[in-house]
Amino acid sequence: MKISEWMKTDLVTISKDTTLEDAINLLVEKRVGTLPVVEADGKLLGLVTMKGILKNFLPDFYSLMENTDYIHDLGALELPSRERQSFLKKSITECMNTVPRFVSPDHTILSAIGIMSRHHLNDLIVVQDGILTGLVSTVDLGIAFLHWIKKNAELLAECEESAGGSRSAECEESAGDDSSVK
Amino acid sequence: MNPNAVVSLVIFAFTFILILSEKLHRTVAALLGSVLMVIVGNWMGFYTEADAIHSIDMETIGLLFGMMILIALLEETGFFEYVAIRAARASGGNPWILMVSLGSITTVLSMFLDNVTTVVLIAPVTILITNLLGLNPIPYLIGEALLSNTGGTATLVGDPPNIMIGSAAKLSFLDFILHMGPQVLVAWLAALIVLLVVFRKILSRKPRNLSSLMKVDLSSVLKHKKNAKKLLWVLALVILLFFLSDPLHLRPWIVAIMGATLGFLLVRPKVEEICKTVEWPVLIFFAALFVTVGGLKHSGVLSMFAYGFVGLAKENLLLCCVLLIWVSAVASAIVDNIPFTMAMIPVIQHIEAQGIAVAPLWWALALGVGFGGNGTPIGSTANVVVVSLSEKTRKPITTGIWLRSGLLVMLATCAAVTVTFIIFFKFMQ
Repeated sequence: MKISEWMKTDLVTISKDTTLEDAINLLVEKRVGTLPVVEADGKLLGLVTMKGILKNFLPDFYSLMENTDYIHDLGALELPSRERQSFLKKSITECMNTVPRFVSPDHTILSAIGIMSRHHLNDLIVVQDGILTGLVSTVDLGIAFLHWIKKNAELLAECEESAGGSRSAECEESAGDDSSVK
Repeated sequence: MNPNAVVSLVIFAFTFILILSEKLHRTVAALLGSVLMVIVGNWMGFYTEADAIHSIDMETIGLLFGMMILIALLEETGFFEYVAIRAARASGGNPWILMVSLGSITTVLSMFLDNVTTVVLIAPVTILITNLLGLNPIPYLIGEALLSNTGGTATLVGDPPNIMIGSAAKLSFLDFILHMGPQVLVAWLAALIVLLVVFRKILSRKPRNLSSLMKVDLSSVLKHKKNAKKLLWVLALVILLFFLSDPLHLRPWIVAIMGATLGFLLVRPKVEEICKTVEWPVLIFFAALFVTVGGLKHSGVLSMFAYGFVGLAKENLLLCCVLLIWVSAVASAIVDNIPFTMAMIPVIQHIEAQGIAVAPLWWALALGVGFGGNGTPIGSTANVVVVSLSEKTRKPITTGIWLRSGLLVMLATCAAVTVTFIIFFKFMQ
């Protein structure tokens, strides 16, 4: 099963002149976690995520220290700040990931799961020849996976019937190798 | 000069300049120098491979390694953050008290643990504390680097040059404390006063928020209280054995490795993870540099250089010492104090071979090299670390800021110990 069958194709995208504030508003309004940044012809420039934007408002020591969980309240840093306000007016190019992970439309479900898992992604974009063609969210992958498992079971059942009701090894091979499933 | 001397000097100078220029990582530069020195030295006949291996001072490397492990184990427990945050709370948000307490803590820690690593561990939590309070982190970061550089000069283990000098001159931990301790204390106080005066404007500004720092749950900062306690006991034992190293015939390096082993036994961490935090590039840098300087020594260059000093040392040892303090200070402000110390050690040993009692020269070298490192942002690795960390924040330390504080501290501390050295000269011998 290919990713192209399960990806969303009507995507919300933004241009590189969008401000951070507008991007956050759009992410909230459209209830998505990721906004691809594209040029007019659909060429992908980068990816903006809610997590990625919000991270920029954290103070520096978060990147310098390993254990910061004990901080409940950032004290003076919680006070009103002009810097924070002006930062919101900046273009999303400040927080844009210019080298996002992506898959091509012919990636399979499992391989897409592999990439999302490895790089801790919530959304995975599908790109062909530098042009954004679709996006798969975690939920989309879950739906695809369930269909795939169902199809798996159907194929196994068909094969066993034609082999005379026994669980022969040939059926496993033709239904697809499930050795990766634990 | 004979060809061996010229060639070895060229290779050494090339390595030195390469390290300074920072075009290559210092470890790679040192490796390059060492390889060239061995190959050329072997071919020209003044430096064999056996000589090269013997040049690597296992005492220095072993001591550094052992203490690195102990620090890594202690860091895992959250001990450094705990101590800094506790001190910050005790200061009640008063910037002056905060400066003195963070500076003192870093100094005490860096007298026993490697200076650079101590600063590496205290600096981020200092940035955190100052952020929470709404204070400018610069005076505290600079203060920690300068004061720990200064204070680390007092002990055998506080400073890599001291470790090397101690090993070469067979000086003990106690020797250092007795000869360096009082003078370093005077210099440290001078440094503190200079810092408080230079940064008086920034330190006069009140913190903007106290409550969040006070609300921090200290028990979640100190993640592994039991392990921290065990390791502190190991550290105490190690320090005790440092003091007793002469009567017990246990050189500090074996004490450090023993401490590391005990740490491993008591804490049972994931060994691979702890070893990953050991600064191997630093250890390799030292080994490679030892080999490079060894070539310099074996070619006879350093004994030639030493002859120049012998005359002055015979005539007026005190003047020679004072000169050494200032020359070493200036040199170590500009260039890396480690290769400089490594090159000076055989020089002093050669002077000794001419029948001069060089004890005060060792102390003068240690003082000069220790305090000179404060003068510039590159004078000491701790400075480099603090500056590069601050560059990741919104208030980076500029060279201008450093020179206004560090250079003054360097002059004040060197002047202070020049005075104490002259007064206590008899005791230095």
